[in-house]
Amino acid sequence: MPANPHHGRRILAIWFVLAAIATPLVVLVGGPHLPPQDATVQAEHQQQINTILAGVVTPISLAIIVYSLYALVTWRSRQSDAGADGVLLRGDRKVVTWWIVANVIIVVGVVAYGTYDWIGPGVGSGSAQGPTPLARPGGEKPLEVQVIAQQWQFTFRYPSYGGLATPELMIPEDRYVEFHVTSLDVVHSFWAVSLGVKADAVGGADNVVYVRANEPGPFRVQCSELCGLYHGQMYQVTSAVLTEADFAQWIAKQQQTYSDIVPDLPPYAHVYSPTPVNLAG
Amino acid sequence: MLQTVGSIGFGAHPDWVSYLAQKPDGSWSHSTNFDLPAHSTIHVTISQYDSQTGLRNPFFGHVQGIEGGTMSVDGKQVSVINPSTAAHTFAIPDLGVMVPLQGIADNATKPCSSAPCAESYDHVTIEFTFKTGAPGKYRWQCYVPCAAGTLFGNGGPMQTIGYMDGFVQVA
Amino acid sequence: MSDVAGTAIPTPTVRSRNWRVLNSPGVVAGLAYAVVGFLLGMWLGRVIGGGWPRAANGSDENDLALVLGYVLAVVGWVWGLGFVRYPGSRLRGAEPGAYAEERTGEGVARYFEVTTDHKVVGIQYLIVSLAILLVAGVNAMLIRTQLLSADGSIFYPNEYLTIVGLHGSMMIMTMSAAAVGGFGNYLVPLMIGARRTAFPRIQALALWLLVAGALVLLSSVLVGGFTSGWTGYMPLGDQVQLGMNSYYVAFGLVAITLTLVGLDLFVTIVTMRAPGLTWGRLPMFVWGVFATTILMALAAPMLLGATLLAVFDRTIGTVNFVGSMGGSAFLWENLFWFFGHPEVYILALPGFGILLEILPVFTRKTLWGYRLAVVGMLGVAFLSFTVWQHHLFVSGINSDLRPGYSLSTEMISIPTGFIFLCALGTLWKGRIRLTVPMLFCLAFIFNFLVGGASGMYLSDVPSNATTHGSYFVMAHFHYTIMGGLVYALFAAIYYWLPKMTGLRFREGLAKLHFWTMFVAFNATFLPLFLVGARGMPRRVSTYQPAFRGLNVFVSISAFVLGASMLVFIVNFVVSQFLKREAAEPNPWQSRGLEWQLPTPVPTHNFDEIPQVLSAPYEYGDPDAPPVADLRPSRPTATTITGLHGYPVDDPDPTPSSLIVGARVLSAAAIVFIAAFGFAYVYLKAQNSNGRWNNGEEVSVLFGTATLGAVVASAAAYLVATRRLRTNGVAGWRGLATVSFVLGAAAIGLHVWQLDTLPFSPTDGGYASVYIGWTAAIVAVELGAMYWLLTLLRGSLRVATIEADLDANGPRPVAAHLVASAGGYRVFWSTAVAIEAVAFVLLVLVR
Repeated sequence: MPANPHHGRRILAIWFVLAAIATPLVVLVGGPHLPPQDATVQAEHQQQINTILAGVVTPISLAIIVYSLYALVTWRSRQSDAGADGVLLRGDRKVVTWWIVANVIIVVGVVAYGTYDWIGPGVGSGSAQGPTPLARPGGEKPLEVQVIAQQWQFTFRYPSYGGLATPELMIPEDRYVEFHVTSLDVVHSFWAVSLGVKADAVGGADNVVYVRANEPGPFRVQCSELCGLYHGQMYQVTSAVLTEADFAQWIAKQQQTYSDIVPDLPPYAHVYSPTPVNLAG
Repeated sequence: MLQTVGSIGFGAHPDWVSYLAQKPDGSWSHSTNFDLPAHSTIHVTISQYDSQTGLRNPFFGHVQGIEGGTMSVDGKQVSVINPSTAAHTFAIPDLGVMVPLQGIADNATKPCSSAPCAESYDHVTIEFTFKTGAPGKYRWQCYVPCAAGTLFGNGGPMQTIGYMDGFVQVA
Repeated sequence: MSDVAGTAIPTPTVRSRNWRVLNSPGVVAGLAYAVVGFLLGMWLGRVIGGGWPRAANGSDENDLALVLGYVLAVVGWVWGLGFVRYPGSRLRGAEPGAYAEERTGEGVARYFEVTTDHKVVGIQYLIVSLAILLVAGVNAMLIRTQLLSADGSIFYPNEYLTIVGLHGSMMIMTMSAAAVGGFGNYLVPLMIGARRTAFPRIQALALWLLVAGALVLLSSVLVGGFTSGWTGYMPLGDQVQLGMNSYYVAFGLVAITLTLVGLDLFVTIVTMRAPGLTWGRLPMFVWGVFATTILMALAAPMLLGATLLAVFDRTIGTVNFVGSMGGSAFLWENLFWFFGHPEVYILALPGFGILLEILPVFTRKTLWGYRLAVVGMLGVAFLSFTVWQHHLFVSGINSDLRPGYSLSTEMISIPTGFIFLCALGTLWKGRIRLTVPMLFCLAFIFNFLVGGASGMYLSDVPSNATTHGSYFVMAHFHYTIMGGLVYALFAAIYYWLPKMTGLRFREGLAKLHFWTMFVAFNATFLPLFLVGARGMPRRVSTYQPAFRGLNVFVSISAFVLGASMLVFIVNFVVSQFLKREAAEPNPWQSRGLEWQLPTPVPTHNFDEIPQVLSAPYEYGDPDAPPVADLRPSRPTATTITGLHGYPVDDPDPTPSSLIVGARVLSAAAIVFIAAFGFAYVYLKAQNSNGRWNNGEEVSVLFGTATLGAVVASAAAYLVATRRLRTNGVAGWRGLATVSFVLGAAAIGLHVWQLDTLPFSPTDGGYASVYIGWTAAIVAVELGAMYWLLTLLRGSLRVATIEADLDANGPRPVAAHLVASAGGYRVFWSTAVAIEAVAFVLLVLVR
């Protein structure tokens, strides 16, 4: 090379321009469309975090890609210098220091914010919290709904309505719902996609996850842990968030339809142990 | 027309429980894949020859998604059976259909031991009607943990197409 | 080596030729014995299965018979291949050293027989790995075919899930084995200036066990398949068909393979480096393998323990993983991922090694930040043991520990970042040659960047709630494993094959392979991030019609990706078989020690053990000396770093290898037993009293007697080794015999106790753990007693250690005995410590 151009500054300039265009595009334009949208408070929080992560990841990835492509174009071996070696450079303490500092800041920042979010305002942020949740919603007592998974169907119980059991999942809007997820057999996972809720269902274990829906509308429930033959068919499309009035009406109808089975159900509990385990014909 | 038996008595797994379907000519076929017309009313008769096992989830002792909300068990119209007396269920979850099938009494005098079973053996006859709805491929299965000897009664025939699982092709 | 009396095999006169083929060690005999073993096991299982709960339960599937069939088939396979001859001869008192039939053969045929030549074994690994890769790749094509339609009409769900499970399991198998088993075995001795690895027979055994594992896994399709995926989650794994046994047995075999590979190469790198090859001059690939072997030796035994617990559940009816009976589904998740996450880096680290090994050659620069890269690799290895619960963020356990796991997971980006920084720094002002291996390395950087970036979402608890268990995570690990390791493997193949076979690749076809693979790979997996985040779970045979468009696009891309592999195969066949063109001995002008050797590399690698003079990446430094002096004209028959002048040509371990090996093996044994210890602690904490322990009382007297026997045995042995130097071999032998008798008595007591247990396996968590743990201890102690027996028999050949060591000059037999006796002391002390912990927990605390 003739003169010694400031490769570092050039790379920085190219990166800055590209990052200045791409990052706002990703964050401002893409952000509001990132899954799992904003149907619930928890989904909103996940979307927020996904947007932040996209905002962090985009410039970093761009930096590495821009640098690599610049290197390939600029320092590619040409016919004229065949056989020549590159410069002798064994490392650079300053670069290493800054790299580590930046990396640590990103790591600590991302983990700290994610942790703050799910323990604090996200109330679990849709992630299951086991039998004794760390993050609980304040204010009005949440509506308790039990999700019972089994091979290969979800059923639901509403303890505050006489232990009602139903094949459909309906929840009211603008009110915290406390899902208690359990299984009667193998491990399943309760995933209400657009609610941003996921909780493994494990036999003999209780798993709590909170959600507060913003507006009425249907949602889909799907099993997301391999549970045998019909894992791929274990979903529910009839679930919905209802207005307060619709919900009351729906509950009344369910109570009427399924009243005659309630005496045969086991008393409401957070885990069930149906017996026997190894059944004979 | 379907029948369920405690042990099928032939094939690769003679000890396994199974469903069988009756072909139009009256013979029984060991198949669990059915073709049904769309948006039609289907009348099902099931001869249930197996003994009682009990439901893992007692809630399924209540019928779901069938016309009139009741089924006929040996001629009696009911919407619910005692969950512990169920032998099998006939369920197409995507169509909302769930029908518990009562088992023969524990002290039955003439249980059938290999398929297909003749009318003269002890059995329970269940009849019900459901609507097929839109075309599609729907799975159906049994919800009684009837696979003897497997964990939760749900291995073996419960996880093998052709025994207690199958598909309904609605076209 | 002196001739061992009686090893010459008399020519059989009456036996037919066919009989000799079956009777002489080899693949044919291995297969024949395997079939016999399988039938024997099935028969045994049927006979004794009658009394066991699970087998007798009328499910018409006898799990015990199948598992015993598999186990005895593997025993027969190993026996037929000839692996028991050497240990057997040692029991009969043969000297340590070359068995008469050790093979380092010639010609193409050697690639299809048992050999102890590390180069042949390395290529055998590559052949096996590519074969498994091909089968697993076909499975991937079948998966994508099924997903062309939303209602999944091609395969039944059980068939589809078996295909998915086989794809995952076989890919994990082949990817774990290909880089370290293939390139590691082939290159490490060449790169460190050695003629062999530390334990050549173990190195060969590991390969043939992997073959057995792959065959066992594939055989699951004959017995109903398995619907659990490669993670084998419990209790589903306890529930499903016979084919599930194939998975657990196969993964048990893989665990043994990985442990053995780790043991062999770790010890090789520690004890067999050529003079002058300091840690600071070690090639990056060797560093990558080194970090990987630590993970292999310390994580894989956990998988072995976990699969044993699973097999006990399925065969004798323990309830380790059945929550309602005193076990826990979470136990498998913890044990599996404690292995499973280091496993991820068993896949990634060799890739980092290959990347950093190749980059300096094609940038013509010294590696930027050598030490930083080493710290990065070791840091990744260390941290990978601390992150496993990030797989369980939504499982409902330990939610209070999530900030910790989230942090440790994100922290892995720091050492990984070092490796990235070193790779990028090496590009700076280089003379970059865009050869095919270099293209694959650059693509590695890009793919791993995408993989790492998506990993940030998964490590974040809120984001994880959506991405976990979906196609998002599936795309993520394909970017890291396929985009990382598979690209690194292809870089390695294109880079080193000219040295391995002496033949050149077609450059045009290779570039076509690269570009189709790069474009199709990204077209396949980028859209899957979106599909997953929008709500498509993994391993489903049907999906929402809304995802149809993207899935069809992905399937078509996947078919192109599959086709790009065909380009590779065509290139391979054309360049290696049809139109062969000789490659130059060092086509890349690399400074690597392996490239200074002639092509093909001679069987003994180096005529003389080289003297390493400088680091391998001193490109651009005119003052740098050549990498090594290949003819330092030192006496060849002396050791490199071993004790007592033990000859290096001998395929038996050098004394220093034995001692380091014994330590690694002891550590592996601790991890293996720790699986049971973890099960104990976990189930005890998870279960209320009734389900944990139904009031079972094992005899304290029994337990005390057993512990007393092993402690006395260890004490006798410790005194014995002290006397080895002073009183000579005779004094040692007396006390060592006492130690053996006491150790054997302890095993006998254990077995007696297992036979007369006051409870049954189904009685709860305690009963289950007790049986599994005790059986595992018996296995470890049996191994120890075998070792001691060979020492005792070997000692009969040495009149006095003193005379052997000093008077007659260093004699290998005595040096070997001293080292082996010292190694055994470490191992037996470890076993006794394990026994003591088990006594406290199983007998005293309960």
